[in-house]
Amino acid sequence: MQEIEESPGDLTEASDDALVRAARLGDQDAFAVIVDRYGPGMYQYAMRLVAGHDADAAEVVQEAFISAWRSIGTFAGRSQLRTWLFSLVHRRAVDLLRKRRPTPIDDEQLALESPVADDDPLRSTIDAELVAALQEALATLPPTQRAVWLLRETEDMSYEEIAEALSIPVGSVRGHLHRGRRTLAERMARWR
Amino acid sequence: MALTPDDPNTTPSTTPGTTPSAPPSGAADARPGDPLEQATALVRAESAEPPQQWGEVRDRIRDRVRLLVLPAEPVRLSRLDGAAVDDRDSTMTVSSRVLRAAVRQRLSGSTTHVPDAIDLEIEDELLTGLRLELVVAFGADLAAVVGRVRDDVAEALAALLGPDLGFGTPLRIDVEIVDVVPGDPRLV
Repeated sequence: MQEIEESPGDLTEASDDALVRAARLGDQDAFAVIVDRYGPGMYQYAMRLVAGHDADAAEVVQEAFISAWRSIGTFAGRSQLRTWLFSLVHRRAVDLLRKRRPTPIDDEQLALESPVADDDPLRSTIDAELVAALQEALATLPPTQRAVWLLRETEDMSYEEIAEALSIPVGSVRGHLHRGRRTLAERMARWR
Repeated sequence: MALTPDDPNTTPSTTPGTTPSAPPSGAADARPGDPLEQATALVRAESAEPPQQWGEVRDRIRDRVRLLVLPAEPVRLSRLDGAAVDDRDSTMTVSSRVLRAAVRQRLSGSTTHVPDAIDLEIEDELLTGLRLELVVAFGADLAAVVGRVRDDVAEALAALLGPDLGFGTPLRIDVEIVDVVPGDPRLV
């Protein structure tokens, strides 16, 4: 095979394995691609986990990525990169929730985060209220139930991946998901 | 068949005129038009787009990563005459972090190989050896790759530390191929 000298091209097309390999050796460009690839999802997850508090979610995601940068050398690849990153978000969010006093949910913020249907203002308003209601209902769940529900329903993770991310047995994932869904369904029932 | 809370088979019967006596696991969120299902779909759609403040958060992460100083060791420069100190009896050192970055960059320009690990062996601020782990593209001439890598590494280090890398003895560069991948190992 002939050796060809060339730039690696667009790193955004690199696999997770290739990015981790480069980041482990201190390649900040490769790490920036990891941040771009998984950061938005992690931020959304953190936002819902900490009940819509922007600053808290931002802090959680920043700390998760700093921790990832420091410890990526020890990331053995036994779990998926994404699962590992979400586990870092979860740990920091749980720490933050333990320290934080319960605060009322900011309805305006929730509305801002809700999708807008351009061509149907009424539909848009209803959708925004529905999402806000779900966020309120989520906030009443215990943190692990909330995390399990979010990882399953919004991140589409398998039970095994959720178990890995939250460091709990797969059986517990099923239990938390079942109880979380039941509670959310009850809370959302008034929207029928 | 075993049912799980995710299993569509756990959805209760909604046949008109029948009412399930006790809804099974996850039943309430699985019916069409269910408010929880609708809200979940909206949240999923929302997740497909980056959050409004994500750009600022990303910039702060990048800044912090750039400023984060990871542990490193000083490595003494060599001189052509083999002396470890200069005329003023002082030494100059380069951070091991800089050396690793130089080696990494030097080895990142090829489609046939990429470093997986770069371990510098440092004793009393002197670089005594280097151990490299490589990922190589399937089909590459391994002997040629290893020879080329040794030359490239020695050249990259000499540019920073001076020509007498081993202070009188040749610098040991061990190379181990730890993986073979189909395609450009920088992307696969």
